[in-house]
Amino acid sequence: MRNLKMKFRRIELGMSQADLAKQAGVTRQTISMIEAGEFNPSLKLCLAICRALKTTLNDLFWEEEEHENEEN
Amino acid sequence: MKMKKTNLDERQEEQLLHIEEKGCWFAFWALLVSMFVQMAVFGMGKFQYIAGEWVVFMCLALYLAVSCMRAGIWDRHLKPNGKTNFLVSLGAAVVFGAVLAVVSYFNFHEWQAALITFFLIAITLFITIFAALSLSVFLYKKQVKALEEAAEE
Repeated sequence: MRNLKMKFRRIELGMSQADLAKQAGVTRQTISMIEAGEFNPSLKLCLAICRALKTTLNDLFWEEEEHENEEN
Repeated sequence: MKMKKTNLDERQEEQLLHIEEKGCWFAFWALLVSMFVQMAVFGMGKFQYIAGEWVVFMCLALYLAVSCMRAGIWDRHLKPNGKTNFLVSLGAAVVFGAVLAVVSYFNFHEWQAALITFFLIAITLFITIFAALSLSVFLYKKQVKALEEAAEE
């Protein structure tokens, strides 16, 4: 499931994947894979990303049930 | 030079674990095949030829079995019960009995000896594996109970 909310928020703040990766303490490839839905981050990393993007878990990672089913 | 705790992030750690897992299972099966090939080439009585592989293989098997047992993990697909133990023991006994019968045939070129080898090995292995699995299931269930009790509030 692609994480477009995270990608849009990052772009909104004018951050590159490399900037976000540096702030969250991971590699750029990891950020790319989270945005592409190819890697599910741990809660610890989700929190680090939220802090870097100055937002909440709810805003970035919460999906409504109907939307989740559509994606699947 | 100060060593960093880890250079990898959690995705890389996960990938590294997958790579190591595949490498571990490759080594496990390659050692087993290597031992059978050497027995076929040098003869079944020549244990000194496979001693090194055997020690490493047994250490690896013991480590995997004990670690899984301590963690309360049995298997991804198989259930720890008598029926599974019976089928797994039977399958392993027939397969390894057949392999050793083939090895025996290559060494002595007598099909009667190979057939006797098959039955002797298969029966011995079936009893041994079934007993070992039954004991493991007993210990596994005991460990799961202990872990569940420890995890209670």
